[in-house]
Amino acid sequence: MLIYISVVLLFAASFAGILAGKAHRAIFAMAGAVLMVLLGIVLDFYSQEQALLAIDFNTLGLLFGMMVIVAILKNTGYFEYVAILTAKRTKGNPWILLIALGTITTVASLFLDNVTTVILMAPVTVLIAGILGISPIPLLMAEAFLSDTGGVATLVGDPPNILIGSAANLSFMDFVVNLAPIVLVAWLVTLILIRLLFREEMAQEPSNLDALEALNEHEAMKDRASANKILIILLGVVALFFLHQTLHMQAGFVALIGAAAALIWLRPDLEEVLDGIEWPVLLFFAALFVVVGGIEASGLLDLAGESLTSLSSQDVILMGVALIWVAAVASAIIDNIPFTIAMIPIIQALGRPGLDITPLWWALALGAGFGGNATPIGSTANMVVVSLSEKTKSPITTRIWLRSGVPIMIATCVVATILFVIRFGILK
Amino acid sequence: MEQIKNWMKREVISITPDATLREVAALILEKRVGTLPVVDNGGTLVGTVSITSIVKLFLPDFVAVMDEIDFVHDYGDLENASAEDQQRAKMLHVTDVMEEPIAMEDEAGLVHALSVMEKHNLRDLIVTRDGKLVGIASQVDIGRAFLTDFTKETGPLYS
Repeated sequence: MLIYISVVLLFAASFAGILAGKAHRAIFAMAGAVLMVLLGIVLDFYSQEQALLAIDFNTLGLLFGMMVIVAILKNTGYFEYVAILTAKRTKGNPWILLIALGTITTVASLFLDNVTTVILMAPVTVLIAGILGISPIPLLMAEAFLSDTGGVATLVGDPPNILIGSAANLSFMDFVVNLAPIVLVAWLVTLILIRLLFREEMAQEPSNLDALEALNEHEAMKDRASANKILIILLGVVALFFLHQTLHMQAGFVALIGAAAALIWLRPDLEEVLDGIEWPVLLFFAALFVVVGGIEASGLLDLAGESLTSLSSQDVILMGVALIWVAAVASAIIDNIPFTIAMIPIIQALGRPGLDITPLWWALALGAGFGGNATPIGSTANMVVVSLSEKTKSPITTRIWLRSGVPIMIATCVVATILFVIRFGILK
Repeated sequence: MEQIKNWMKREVISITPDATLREVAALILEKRVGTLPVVDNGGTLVGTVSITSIVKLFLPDFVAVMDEIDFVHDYGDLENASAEDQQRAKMLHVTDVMEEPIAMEDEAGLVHALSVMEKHNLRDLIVTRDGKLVGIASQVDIGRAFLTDFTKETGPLYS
């Protein structure tokens, strides 16, 4: 009993620290991890060796590998090139421009981290909007909404998905087959809602079409040779993602193959590439794994699982629907990464022979992904867009965000609920 | 040691924190200065406002968020001062744009002054005595001090 109480208290304290935001969340996670191991040693339920084994190196490898590829890609100017080229084709029509930039962001965020995609797309979006004399706000928000929504479709599109895939041993194709159809509908609904919510801005007449034409996309591409090479690597990585289960390769290993291939082929300045790695994110993940490993080792979750042994497969669908909404509300208010890490062992505890809990993983991914759209702090991509807009003369305020974010979150979660019940309840 | 006080201008045009940005702009134009110290009623230096910090308000948004802008050749309507920018700037006060003052005491040496100006990228250095404004020295003023010293030197050139 003493073990359970102290584990719960420690977990609650680290979580509170992470959410309070008084220091970087990775610092609280690391303090929590160290205290958990200490507690484990003193109360004899969690050893240092167990703590090391609790760290999911597949997830860390996937994150690290993709970060290396992105760190090389982002300096080539390739994103600016594609954005400008596309914008010129739209002839400055705000609505078509929004669809075009939103689609580029979504496609990129299917395979790359949303945050990176938005960091690369948002500045050039401000440029294009500025040249055309139209408001950048709908374009920026659409990029965040559409990449948050679209990223749910793949294993690597969203950090919660990486965690879920690794914990439940789900492959890239599992995600595509089960989630992509639902995400596609939700994505289109998001686009329609954006059109309705920003109808005034979409009616703006662009000026300076000549100035848009005068933008030179070839000059924006700083390093064409490197861009071509890294894109070939990226295509190879994506192809391997589709095949990784058939080839018995972990997704993390695939990403590391890509990173190693990129480094050996391009031989960039390694210091510069490593500067582009988001070390705090990797530290945060590793520390949270140690904390959750301690909770598992304490036996607390088995206790919870045992009290729910009467679950039927119908209950799983009902729980899935509840999970979509709980996860959505939670990830609108707090960071969806710690939430997902906390939910994973709970869902695992429900599994037992004869009961397929896989739908719950999809529910968690859908809720955690779509919920993030509601608020400016719901996803890291949202925070990036907001802080970038604060450097301009038309900052995105919390009110502006909620006005479209909340309807979009509710609509996409309704879509997710209906399609979830049909796909996993009725059609299974 | 040469001190700043021997090379600074003692007649300093300053402005109070309650001034509007338009008043500042007019004063800068009229007096042909680049930097105005902002001084409260007790004579204490509270900030500086410069031409650079005012004209920044008229930069297009993308300049603040893009690393490189060399591939943008045609600025189109952005070349015409936007009415919105003008309107927004008219609403502002000195306190909205003023920067933290970087000042030096008048007894400080010229090498010290030159070093601080270089590191903080300053065109004008505010000079104080016990925190009160007493003078201002431009890059040119400080530079002259050094050049004067340098040309006085009797080296092989003059022998």
